[in-house]
Amino acid sequence: MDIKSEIRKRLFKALGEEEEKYLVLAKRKKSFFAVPFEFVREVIPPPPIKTLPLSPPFLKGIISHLGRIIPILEISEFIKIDEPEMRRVMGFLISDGRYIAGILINEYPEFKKIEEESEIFPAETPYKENTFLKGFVKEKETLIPILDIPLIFEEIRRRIKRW
Amino acid sequence: MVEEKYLAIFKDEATSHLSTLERCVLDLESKGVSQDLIKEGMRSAHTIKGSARLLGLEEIGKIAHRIEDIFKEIDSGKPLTPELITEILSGIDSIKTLISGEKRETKREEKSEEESKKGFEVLRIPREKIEAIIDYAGELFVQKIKLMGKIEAYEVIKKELKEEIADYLSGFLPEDKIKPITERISSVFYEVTEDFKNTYEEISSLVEGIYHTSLFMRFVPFSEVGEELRRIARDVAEENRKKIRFLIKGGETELDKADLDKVKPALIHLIRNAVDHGIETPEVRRALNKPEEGVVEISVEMEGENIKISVSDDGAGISGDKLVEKAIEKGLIDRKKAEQLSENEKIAFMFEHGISTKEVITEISGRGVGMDVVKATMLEMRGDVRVETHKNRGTRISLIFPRTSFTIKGIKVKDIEEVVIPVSDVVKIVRLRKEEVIFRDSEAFFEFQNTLIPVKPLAFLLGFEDFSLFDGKDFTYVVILRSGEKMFGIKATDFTSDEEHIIKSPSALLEGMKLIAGITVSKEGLPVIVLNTNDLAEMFFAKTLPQLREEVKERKKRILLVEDSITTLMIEKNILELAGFEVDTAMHGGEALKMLNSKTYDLFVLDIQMPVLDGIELTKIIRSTPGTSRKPIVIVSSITDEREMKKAKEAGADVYISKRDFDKSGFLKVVKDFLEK
Repeated sequence: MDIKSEIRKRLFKALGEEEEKYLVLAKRKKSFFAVPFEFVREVIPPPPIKTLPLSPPFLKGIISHLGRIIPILEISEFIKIDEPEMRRVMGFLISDGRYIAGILINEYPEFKKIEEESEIFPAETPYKENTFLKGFVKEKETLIPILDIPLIFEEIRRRIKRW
Repeated sequence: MVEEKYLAIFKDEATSHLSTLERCVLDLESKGVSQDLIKEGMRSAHTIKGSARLLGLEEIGKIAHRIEDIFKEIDSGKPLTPELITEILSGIDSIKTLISGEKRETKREEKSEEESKKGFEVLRIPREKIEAIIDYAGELFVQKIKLMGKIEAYEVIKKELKEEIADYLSGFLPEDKIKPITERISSVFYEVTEDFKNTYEEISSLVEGIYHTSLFMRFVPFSEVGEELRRIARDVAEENRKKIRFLIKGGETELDKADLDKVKPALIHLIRNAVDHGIETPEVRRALNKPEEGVVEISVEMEGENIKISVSDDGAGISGDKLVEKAIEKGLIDRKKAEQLSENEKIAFMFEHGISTKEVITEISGRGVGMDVVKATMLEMRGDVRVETHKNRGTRISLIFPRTSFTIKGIKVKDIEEVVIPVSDVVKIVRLRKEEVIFRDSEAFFEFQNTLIPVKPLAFLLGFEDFSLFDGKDFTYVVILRSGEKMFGIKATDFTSDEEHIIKSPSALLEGMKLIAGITVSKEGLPVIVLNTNDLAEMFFAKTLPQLREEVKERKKRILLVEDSITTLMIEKNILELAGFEVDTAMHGGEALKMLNSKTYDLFVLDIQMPVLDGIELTKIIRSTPGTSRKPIVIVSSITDEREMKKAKEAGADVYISKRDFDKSGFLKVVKDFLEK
């Protein structure tokens, strides 16, 4: 676990809140998606991305951020979502403690607590685009997909080994 | 129920004492009985016993108690027999098994092994915290390099400014009056830059100090693994009724833990082979007039920028003829060809999967599984394996690999994309003239040191479609690289002299990605790939030019659309995307230029009137840049003035579409026609 996550966990504990009950809602052009808060590390300014030669399509490139090299993912390879608007872009760093990666978004994400009424539907539909979803959260009568971050990381590792 | 936090502390402590115990008993066996060793061993056994009992780990306590008793017996004069040594070692193994069974392995446990060095206070720091410090220190190092770049740029500005001012003043002042003014300017600039340089030097030495100290936090002495290998050698010898003396040379050499972890399985295999295959039984050795006791030695040394770990034995040596026989049996070579092989070529078969000269397949070795893995490990670590063997005199197998995760000396090579290649892989950079190229079956070769070296453009190997060997010139630069025994050449349009580069890991998520040995950061702060020469070689020799050309064509065509009107931009983008093209957009020529540096495009759609850099100027730049000079350029503009249209054509535009006459299908047809050509 990194230092930031440790601080965050302690903060939540001090506030008597459960980190798992929070989501971060991100916007890409007209699409929305959500990431469980526990996997979100930080939101960063538009990074200069370096594309890698002969890289797989789910990899947009890499960035150098505070001394670390971070891969930027093309998340539309995993869920049905708009391509980012490249003129107004920012990075959104996700990590499961073992791996870290960035996703491009167009607006500063929102922080949302999962209330009982915004019930999460499990994503057990047979559609391919739901494979990497943990479920959906209801926000203003719209269903927003929640990314299954560990599964996406696992899939990336699998695809990289095959590539 | 044992509290987990105490259990973790016990495991750390016990692992450290078990390692001490193991060293003591092996030293007692090889060097003879010594009071110091007995006392040290007894103390370790006693500590394990006490702590285990305190935590209610009775089984561990019992075994530790027995080990302590054996040490006491030896202390009281009981002879140290091989049986007693085996009993202690079995006890150590049992405790290890019990400890690992108490709780599944955790990161804290990995630390305990790594930090079990005796003799100084050990502070346990999680690996990720150390990695974070190294990353920050690495970033400081990069900033230091960037600062040097800025100071260099300052020197250039000083020279240019001096000339410009002199030029300007020459219009209304005589030369003798100008000189003192420009000299004064120079002197002021000199003072400022010197001041900068001095501060830079001070910061530089501090940064280097922080960086290197942080890197060395991950270092451990080789002896930590060496002791483990000694134990393995001892066990294999005992099982095969062989007598060995195990020597470690350079055990104090400190290596990166990450390197040690990677190379350890290969070393275990080599040690097992040395004892099981190399060293003869005492009877055979006697018959050969050799001492009954064989010598197995592991040595660590630095060889330039590389680490060299050698495992040697004074045993039977490896028979090239036996290896060839096995290779023929396996169908790897026919007898006729085998007869023409040199001794070294015969020995090279030991690295083929499934080849072993061992007559009897044992639990230990002889299955032919392993040496191929040793070779693969070295390839993965960008290293090499060297074998020296002499009949009845023994074998030495050396693993040579570059130190990882530091700075490397590399040259930046450019052919559309800029990459760094480690200097250690570069044989030479040559200037190749067109007439020196020999074409055979659509492949290009040139002669170097009486050998024909194949050459391919780097851009082609990196997946770019617009590759060429000469870019319309009469000569090109070729970087000759070596990977193992193979030499090959890559064409480069530009290269730098060797520089020090900080190597960063390309992130755990991308681990194992082909071609990438690491990532460095340019003076501009952008990541640059450090190529894995072995992967590049594999790609170079596996795929011929036409095959790769077909592969490259399979990808979606990519178009750069440059337009300052958001409405036009969206309309054109939509049309192109619906037709299946990948489209990137820029709002003016300046933005487009930046994108050209990071990606390759198949076609450009440009407006003319744009801020920062207009379409005509952008066209000229595209036409004069090697990677894009032949790409189609489509101008879509509202300007209908004939002169402007002529200007665009002269600058290099292929077609001019007026926005007034713009229709979707016509536009799409023009784009498709160009891309299908």
